[in-house]
Amino acid sequence: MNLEVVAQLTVLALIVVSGPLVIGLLALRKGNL
Amino acid sequence: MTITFQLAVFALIVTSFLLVIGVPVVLASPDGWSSNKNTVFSGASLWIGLVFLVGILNSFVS
Repeated sequence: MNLEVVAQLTVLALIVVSGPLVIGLLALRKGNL
Repeated sequence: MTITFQLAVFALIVTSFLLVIGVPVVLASPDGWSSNKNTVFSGASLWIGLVFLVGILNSFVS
């Protein structure tokens, strides 16, 4: 697995993680979900 | 020149991630917009600047 594939999968992981992270942060701050 | 380009791309990715997380959290938090408006505007300005910087630096690599 070369560096390009690792970089692509890392960015994809960041995008996938960002959704639940937003939900979690808003739940933590009692935001308008 | 290549390392500058790579650092600019990395900074763009980090800024994009922070904005993707931060903007909806700020907008949906109670009293979030009025107290974090300047931060969001600064982040958006930084992001636009990085997009143009990456575009310009791209002309100087390879």
